[in-house]
Amino acid sequence: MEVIYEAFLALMRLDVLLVILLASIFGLFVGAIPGLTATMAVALLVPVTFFMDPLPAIAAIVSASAMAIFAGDIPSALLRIPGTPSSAAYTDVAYKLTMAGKGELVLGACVVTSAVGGLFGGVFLMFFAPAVAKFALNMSSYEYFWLVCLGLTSAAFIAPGSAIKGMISLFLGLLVAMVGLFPVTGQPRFTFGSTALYGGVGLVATLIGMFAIAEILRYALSRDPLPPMATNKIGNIFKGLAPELWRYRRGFGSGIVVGTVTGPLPGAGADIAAWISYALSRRFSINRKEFDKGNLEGIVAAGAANNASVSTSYVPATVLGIPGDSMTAIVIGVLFIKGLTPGPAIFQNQPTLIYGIFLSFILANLLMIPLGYAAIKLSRYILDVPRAYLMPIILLFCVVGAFAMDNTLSAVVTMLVFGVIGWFMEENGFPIAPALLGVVLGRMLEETFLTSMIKAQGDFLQFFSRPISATLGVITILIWLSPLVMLLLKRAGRRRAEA
Amino acid sequence: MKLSDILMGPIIVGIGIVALIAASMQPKPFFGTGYGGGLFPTVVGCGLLLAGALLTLNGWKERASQPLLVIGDWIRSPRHIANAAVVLGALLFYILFSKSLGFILAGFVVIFVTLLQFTRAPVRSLIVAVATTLVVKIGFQDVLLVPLPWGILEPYAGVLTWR
Repeated sequence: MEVIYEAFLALMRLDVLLVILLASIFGLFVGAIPGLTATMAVALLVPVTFFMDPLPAIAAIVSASAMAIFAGDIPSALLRIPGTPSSAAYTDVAYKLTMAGKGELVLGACVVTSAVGGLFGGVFLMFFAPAVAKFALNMSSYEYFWLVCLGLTSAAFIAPGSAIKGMISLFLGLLVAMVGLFPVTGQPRFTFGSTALYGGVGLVATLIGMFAIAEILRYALSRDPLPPMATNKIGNIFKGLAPELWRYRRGFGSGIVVGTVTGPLPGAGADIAAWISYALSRRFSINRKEFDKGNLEGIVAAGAANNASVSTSYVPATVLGIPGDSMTAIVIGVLFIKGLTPGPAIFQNQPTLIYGIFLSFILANLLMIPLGYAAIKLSRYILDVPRAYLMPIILLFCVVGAFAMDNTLSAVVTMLVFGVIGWFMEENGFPIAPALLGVVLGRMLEETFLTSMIKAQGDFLQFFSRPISATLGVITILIWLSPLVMLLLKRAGRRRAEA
Repeated sequence: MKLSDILMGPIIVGIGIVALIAASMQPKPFFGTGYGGGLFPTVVGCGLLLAGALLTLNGWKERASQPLLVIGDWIRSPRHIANAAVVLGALLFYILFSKSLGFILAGFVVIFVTLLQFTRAPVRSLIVAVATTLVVKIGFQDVLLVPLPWGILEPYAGVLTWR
């Protein structure tokens, strides 16, 4: 408890609060503009956080991401375009209700459910993460190796689109992670003779390229202008909201639970939490007919789920150092840049920091109600900001942001290259998240494997010698084999049908 | 620009082969476990090879329904092609000339040219470009102390620095 109090004091410093406030406003703005995603908000924030202390740096990322995920609901309801992919599950319903004159109710439900979902997730994170950490302290490189494998495979398999493309995306990311000095012998590998690549491909430049430059390119080539807004007048968004929320309390509750559970899973981000929650609330709806006609139930469930999952996705990221989605992958990168190694020991070495991060979730989600209210009120102006002006401004920030990380022009080159690659991958239906996780986790995968092999003196069976490690290994291998099994089952089924 | 699987598959296979060749050129380990820097790239290369082959197979199965190459509407709009060319060109310009011209001039060119291309409003573009360059310069160079290049403006660095 004392630690929490100390962390609270650290968070309540004026400069930290100011950073959180500014990052929140930034997140709301970026999230609300279609085409600018929550991940992009975080990627653009990293160069600025580079110059801050660890706590305000991560708190800024936390608040910006939570706000951006909520703000994605605003254009969903008003333009029928999800501001971020996490709002896509209920965009149609939200827009339909807005057209039916219930825009205020929808937006009110979005902001309240987002905040409550995020708060629950934050509280869960605070009490669950230390327990996981205690458990994780007993883990060695064998367990970590399997956990990284598990995380990477799930990321590739769960990613939207075809599983093969997910795998390819992951392998390409891993290949990029191989660039740099080989950890065991220190010999340069795949550096093309360039000393700038000795430290590996710059993570932040890669991120900015894949998430911001790719987006600017997509905008440059897109031919469809934004549709007009469904309504210009937004009155009191909290009017009549309480009875509606009470009516859908079951969906609300299940949304929170689904989000909280989905968050820590590897590969499943806020968007997947929203889809699952939406589908479940339809399945168990109190009135399926009304649900399909379009009512608040699905919005309440999915709106709570995506924000809850943002909070709990920090469990594996901070406790194990294994991110589950692209946003936490960035957080891990930032922690490393700050010289902090995420892992169970962080609770002993940096208790104030880690609890400060957890508390910042609670603070950010409390701030969401007033700031979200303001953003909804101002949405007309936010959505009116011409993207033709915004994109070039972002471009200049990208250039300087990439440069600022290690003060070399080669970072700008990296950013440009990965911008084009990111754009090309997205055009061809390759999910980006597995590639990013591959880049972030590639080193850890190789290091844990080689350390384990050195410890085991080359005996691969040692990977199954400890109970947790064996369980994780078996699960991972089963997942690897699952496509093959599915294929065989399908074949057998077909043969039986023919016979 | 969407390539069909039947074209994309071989590209991935190619990347896999390059990875395998590069991995085989890694120095062989002479101590420790016997696993060298070539091991993981070999695994990844094999993975790419296999996945690329599967993708090609997929493409072959669906060759009737999948067009070889789908290009967005932008290909018929010179303006949109120019949009993308300006973004890429501006970045290349910055990479090539920021050292000699300095951030203030090169950065200004990057944002002004892109703004002009996207909005076609010269006066407003000029105002926004000047303002953004100034904000970025003060924010990153003066406040966050990022050593942005001065280039030919170096003799005036003292006058141009805010603190």
